[in-house]
Amino acid sequence: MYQVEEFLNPGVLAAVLIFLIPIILFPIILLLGKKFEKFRRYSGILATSGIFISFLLSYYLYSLNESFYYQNGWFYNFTWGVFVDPLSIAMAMMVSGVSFLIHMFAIGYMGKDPNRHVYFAETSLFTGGMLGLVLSSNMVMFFLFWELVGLCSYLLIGFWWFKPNAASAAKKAFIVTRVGDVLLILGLAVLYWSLLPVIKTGDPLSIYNILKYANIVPKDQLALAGALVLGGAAGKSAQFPLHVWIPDAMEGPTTVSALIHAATMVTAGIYLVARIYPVYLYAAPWAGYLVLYVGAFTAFLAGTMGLVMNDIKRILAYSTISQLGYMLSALGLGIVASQYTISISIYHLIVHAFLKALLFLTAGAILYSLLDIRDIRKMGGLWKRMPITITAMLIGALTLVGFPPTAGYFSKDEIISLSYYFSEQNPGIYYAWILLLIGAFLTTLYTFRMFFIVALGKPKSYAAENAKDPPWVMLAPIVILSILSLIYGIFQEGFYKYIGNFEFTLPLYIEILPFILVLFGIYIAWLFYGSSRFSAQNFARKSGFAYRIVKAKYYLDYLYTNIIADRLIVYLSYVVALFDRYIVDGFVNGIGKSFNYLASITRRLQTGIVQNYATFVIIGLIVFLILGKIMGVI
Amino acid sequence: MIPLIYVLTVSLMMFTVGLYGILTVKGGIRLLISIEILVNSANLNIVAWAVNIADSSGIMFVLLSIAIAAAEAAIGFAIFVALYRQTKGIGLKSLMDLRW
Repeated sequence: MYQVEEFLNPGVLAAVLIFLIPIILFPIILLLGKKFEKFRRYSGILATSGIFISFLLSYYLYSLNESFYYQNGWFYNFTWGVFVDPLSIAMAMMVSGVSFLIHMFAIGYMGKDPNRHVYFAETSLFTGGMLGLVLSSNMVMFFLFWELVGLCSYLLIGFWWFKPNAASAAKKAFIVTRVGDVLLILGLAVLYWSLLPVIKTGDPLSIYNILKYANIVPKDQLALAGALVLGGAAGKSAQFPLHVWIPDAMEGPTTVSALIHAATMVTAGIYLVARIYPVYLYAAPWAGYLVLYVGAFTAFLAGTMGLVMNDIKRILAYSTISQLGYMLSALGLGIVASQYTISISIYHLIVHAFLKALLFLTAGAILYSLLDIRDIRKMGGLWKRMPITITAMLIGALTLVGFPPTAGYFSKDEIISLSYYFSEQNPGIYYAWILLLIGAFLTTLYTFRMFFIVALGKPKSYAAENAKDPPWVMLAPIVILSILSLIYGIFQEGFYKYIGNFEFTLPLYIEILPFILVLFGIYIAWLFYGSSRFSAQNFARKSGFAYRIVKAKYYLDYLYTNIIADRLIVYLSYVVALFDRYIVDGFVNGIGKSFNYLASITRRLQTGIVQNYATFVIIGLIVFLILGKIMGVI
Repeated sequence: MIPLIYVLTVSLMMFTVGLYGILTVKGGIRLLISIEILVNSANLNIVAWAVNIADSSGIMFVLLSIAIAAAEAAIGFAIFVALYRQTKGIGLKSLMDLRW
């Protein structure tokens, strides 16, 4: 199925160049921008064109229409190389394409920032890292790129480092994803030791070997490895309970939120689970249920929190978490039912990348013309003032809730239908279906709450009154993404065939159930926020207790910061610090001190008096003479 | 003619005195004297053997050695003069800079 290729093969070279070009652009843009003040205005164009080349190369890989991999020795028994199959090509095309459009938008959005060369250098490095991640042939190489994109995420969230919120959000994102990364590396270690005895020679962490030999590894070891790897995926893809960093990450520039925290980096966790899908498929069943219910529960939980946010970017952030939950549960469904359902998950991933990039870019356009007001209560009446932007936002919102005939209808409802289809054979999945269904309803509710408050009514601030559409360089990506969100549904069948098909049919009333809930959700949102029939404030006051809990994000932030971090980790780190100070440092310093002490004794021999040296010489001579006499040499 | 062994004994005694001298004396001049005694014990040894085997090249060699000993004594005195200028004394204690 997969053929091995030489390095000097057009496909392999293209695959390597796809991620090398943006990475090489990083130092070039950074240094040129630092050296020449005038270069900075061209940095965006350079980065955008570099990523466009990556996109063309990805298209070239797609046009080759074959699966292959290239591996070369790296260190120990690990290899490096590229692994190209429909899954990675689809991801590479999505990442480079969406990244290209967002970079284009950023030329306008970041156009006035004095440090824009740093911004474009970092986003370029990020894009290269993400492309390397999807194309790498080895889990160690994958992990390196995984950390690289994590680093870029940290740098870009804190791009406006002088804002205290941004600095602390960057730290939070880094630390929370680090928890996931520790789990991931433990999972990889378990995978390594469980595959090593099976394959005997070669690289146990090569993706090819993982896919090929996963079925003969003991089920319990696979389940343990899978659960730990899922922890890493949950950290990166913001799944419960490690989802807390994404809403804070919205402190970065909006283009960063669109690129990293909506379209590409957060999907790396989904891609990870899809990439080593056989590990879960052949594992003990509990790993599959874990994947399914982490995803489904996150889809539901993030929806409830999205309902009460007032920051436009945070609403979108919770919606991202929720949609990532859908993707993960689509994978989990397939695992529990022992079917190959990657195509359904990845199709939603790609549709979501388009629609969420679209929504974030429209949010960016709104922020651009409203001078960084992010509170939706200060917007309103924008449809008249920014017609193109808000129409695009409507398209994005309809796609997000899965309104036919947008692409979201074909991707998200498919996942909900799939969960019902599998729950007929396996009642354990039934609750996931309910969670996903409620999640879809909540998605509609918060999306249209946001849309009605932003688009309709009267402007509630001076900036909102004077808003207007942004320049064409920012509108063009928005228009392209809205067209993609609208028409991408027609590629559904072709996409499923490309990645690996899985077909099923359901009775009509189940198929249209999510759509009915969507209509119902839009109607309720209209009652509350579009017209003045009901007052949301009154409703919030009446349901005080539940509202408070959701508003406080289920006290998870409180739990992590005030209880786990302050009560537990701080004391633990005291102990660790003592260990470091007295045992590790003591060992290192002890070596130095012992040599020092030894020297303080032995250097007494060096008296400086020449006669003493002469005495030693003569004593030595006499000793040698006596020894020579005894041994009969002289 | 004096038997060889007597001369060699005197030479050995001179060598021992000289060796004891360079290992123990505290003053610079005494050190130079001890070195002279050492050199001359060696010279005496060579001359005794040269006479014993009736070969004059040993005697010529000793003449050379005496000249070198004179030069060496001159250098020694020069070092001590320089030392005196620095430390107002030529005790060997003042030459203890070469240590830890």
